[in-house]
Amino acid sequence: MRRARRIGTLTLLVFGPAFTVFAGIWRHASPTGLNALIQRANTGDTIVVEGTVTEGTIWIDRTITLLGGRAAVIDGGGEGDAVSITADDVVVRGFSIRGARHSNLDDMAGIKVNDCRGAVIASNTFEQCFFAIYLSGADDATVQSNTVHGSVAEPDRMANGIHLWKCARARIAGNRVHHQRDGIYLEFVTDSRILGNHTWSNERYGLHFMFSHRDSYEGNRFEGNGAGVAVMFSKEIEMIRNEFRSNLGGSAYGLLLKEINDAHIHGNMFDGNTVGMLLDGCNRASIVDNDLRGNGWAVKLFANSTATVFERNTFSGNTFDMTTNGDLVLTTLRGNYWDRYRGYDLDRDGRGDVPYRPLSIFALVAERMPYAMVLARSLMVNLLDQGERIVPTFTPAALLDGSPLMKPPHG
Amino acid sequence: MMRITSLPSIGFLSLAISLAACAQSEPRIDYGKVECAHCRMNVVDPHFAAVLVTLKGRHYVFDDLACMVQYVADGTVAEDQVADWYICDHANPGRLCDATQAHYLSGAAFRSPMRGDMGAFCDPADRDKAMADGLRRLDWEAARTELLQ
Repeated sequence: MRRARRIGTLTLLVFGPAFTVFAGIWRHASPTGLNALIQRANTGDTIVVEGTVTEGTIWIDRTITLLGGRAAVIDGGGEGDAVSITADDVVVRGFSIRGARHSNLDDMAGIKVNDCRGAVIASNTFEQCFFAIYLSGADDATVQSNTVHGSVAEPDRMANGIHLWKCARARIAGNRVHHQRDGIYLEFVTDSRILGNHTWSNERYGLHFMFSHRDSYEGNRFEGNGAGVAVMFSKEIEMIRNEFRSNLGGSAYGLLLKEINDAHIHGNMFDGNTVGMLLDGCNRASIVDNDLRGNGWAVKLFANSTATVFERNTFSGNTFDMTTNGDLVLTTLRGNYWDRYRGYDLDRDGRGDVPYRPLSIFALVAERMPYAMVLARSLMVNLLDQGERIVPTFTPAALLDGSPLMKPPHG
Repeated sequence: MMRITSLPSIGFLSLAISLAACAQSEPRIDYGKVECAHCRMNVVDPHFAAVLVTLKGRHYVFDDLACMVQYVADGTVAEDQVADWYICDHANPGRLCDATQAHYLSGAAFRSPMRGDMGAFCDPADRDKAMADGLRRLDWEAARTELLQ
């Protein structure tokens, strides 16, 4: 075989069930013949690919490792998926992948993983694939350090960057996704972790949860996505130390929470969004130690949200700290820092002695009449707000912070 | 310097403009900018979007047929206030047609944003072309009933 040479044999000792596995290493450097080589490979073999492969879809139906060597490119030729994985514990690492078909009816992807366990997709670059990485029924998968370049010219023609459907225990870490539809999309995904990813300029959401439970996302950055980040119809999601920045537009939110139960939202930064956080039908959310600054609306809290707790958050430089759409607000505000607070602290315990009401009357007016916004920061509006602060009549009486902090809790 | 000479012509012009402004405009969806009236998700997929027009001429945009049907079933807009139901033609993404006259296919092959999982086709020939194993043909009433279950 000229094209594919068996260049080494590796002996691996696998402990646990003590047996010996012989794994081969193959080298492939030709535009065609990779599928044929995979068919000859044994379980546990490694294939190192160099140069461009242009034979349409690469089918991986056995447990092998596919490593990208020098200038390794897999070009699907626009016919279907570029790579299709249907075996357990497959590794695909170090490729540039392109040429997945854009399709109305089929979900074609740069790498598609179907109904198998333990796939590892790492350190690949995707160029204008329809979906870049598509995991369907794939448990225990790892998607790490990939870069997904969508279409800057036509982002509306793209599908999601990293797409998971009915997966459990996935780990999505250190990926970068831009100019796709949703950067990272999870539907029916459980017990998974999303760590340290960066998504920006995606058409819809940087990260999007649907019907997904017991997941966590931590240390991610979401910037300038069409509509920010959405967590919808999900339970027990942890959102920790993420950054939500510059999500601007009439229907854009730093973080949109819709029908969410038992969320933990801790230590996040919301900076420069039209709406920092919107809570619609959110029950028992704990919102602690977050930093909301420079947003149009820091928090929009719909009255259908119950038992939400805001504690030790910093509100500064927002046009509106909080708005709501109803009178009955079942929310606890406790020990937050509000830069608009004008109270005093005579007993010097670091907490203001008079409560702070974050809901200004103008925020209520603007909620019902958006066009009233032209009057923002005018003298009349300021007088109205001051009057309402002194004698609250229109704003919900229960929505107040009884122990506002005198200084921001985190420097 | 221009001089305005004919007063009647100005009158005619302003009348024409005001009449044009009154005309019922064809619904248009600003993809990526507008959010679904029911589920709040941004509307981006021209295969599945839908529009409701009320008798007063108000437009409600939805990302999924399921959202539109549910929205009316919830009574947010009463059914007798609906003037037109529009749905995107799955075979011609972005083209809107009368949802009550459209031809539907239902099945997991259609992965719509809110799991309505139905494709609508303005032309029955397009639907027959898209017909495959695991899909079912439905008309408007059947589609609605199924989405409300």
